[in-house]
Amino acid sequence: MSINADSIKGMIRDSAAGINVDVIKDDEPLSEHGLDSLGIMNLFLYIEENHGIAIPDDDIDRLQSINDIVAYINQKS
Amino acid sequence: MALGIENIASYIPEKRISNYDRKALFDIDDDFIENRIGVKFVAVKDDTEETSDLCFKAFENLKLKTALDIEQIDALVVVSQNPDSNIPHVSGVLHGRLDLPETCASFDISLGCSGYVYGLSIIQSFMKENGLKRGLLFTADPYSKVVSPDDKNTSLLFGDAASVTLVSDTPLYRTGKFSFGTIGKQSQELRCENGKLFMNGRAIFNFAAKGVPKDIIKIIAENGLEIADIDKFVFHQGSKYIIDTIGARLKVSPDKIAYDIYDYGNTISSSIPIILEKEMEVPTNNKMVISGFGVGLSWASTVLMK
Repeated sequence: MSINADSIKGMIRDSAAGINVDVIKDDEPLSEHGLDSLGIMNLFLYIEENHGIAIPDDDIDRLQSINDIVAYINQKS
Repeated sequence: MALGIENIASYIPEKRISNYDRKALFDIDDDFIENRIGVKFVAVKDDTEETSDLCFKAFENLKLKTALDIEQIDALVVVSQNPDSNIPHVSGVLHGRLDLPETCASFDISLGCSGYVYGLSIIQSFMKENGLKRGLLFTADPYSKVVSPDDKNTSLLFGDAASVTLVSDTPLYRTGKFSFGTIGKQSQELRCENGKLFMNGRAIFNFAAKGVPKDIIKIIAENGLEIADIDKFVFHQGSKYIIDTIGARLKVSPDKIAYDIYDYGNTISSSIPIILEKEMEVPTNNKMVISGFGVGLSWASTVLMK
């Protein structure tokens, strides 16, 4: 099942990554809205657990925006 | 014979390194220091202080709290992975320094953040098997020996300290069933290489966030209890973010979860006993969960009961 930007926003809220997802545009870097290294760990653990996928460290470096994450998960799933 | 924890004392060196002074170096802000890693200062031993010296000072503090007769100590155990030297073991050095009787058994345990909980089980089992009545369980793992000052992953986090727990047949808290585990395939994610500490922060976070809550739920049930029966949760103080994440996953109220390392940092196997020393003074803490997790990667948990 493919996911969309709203799904990722829901995961960002549920993972308590520490940022306000309601003010973030889909193509903006999440880091510009305060997603730090600890928030990244929490968010991607949450995604891994909910989608049954493994996301290597090298891939995380490339996943800057909500659009990046949507495309990545849809390609992996 | 019911053995358990009679008393605990600790020693935290006075010297501090401020994480506020390193904001520019590591590109961090006050929120990251206070609310994310939750360490404002890390405690650092003097260059002249050895691991056994930290233990000795913890013991001096224990003597201030108890009418301890040295001649009655029959076991001495030290948990450390940063000993004074490879040979002899720290417990041997400490035995001499404390002038303990020659009949006192002494040995070291090589474990990191899970070491205190493992150590409690080991010393109690050893004492019970051999009919011993009073033992000292020390923890001292001064990571300042192996942390690189320019490594953001570790230098903001780890502090030096030591603790000593008096285990006796007149305990204030006895231990319930224990749970232990190891994920050796990930042992390289937290290691020393050429004398310097390396930590894969994401791997350690994932290990703690996924494994510890499950282990806590399991050990509470195996002791015939429910989460609501626990008065206080004392987890290894990995970082505030790890503690908050474990608490959220367990759906435990934050006021039931101890957090106490703003002023001295993650002290490895000493982090749990340093907090227990305070929490065991709280009259309403009848049942406490303790859980250590880290190097190995290993974990150990149990329930303490009055």
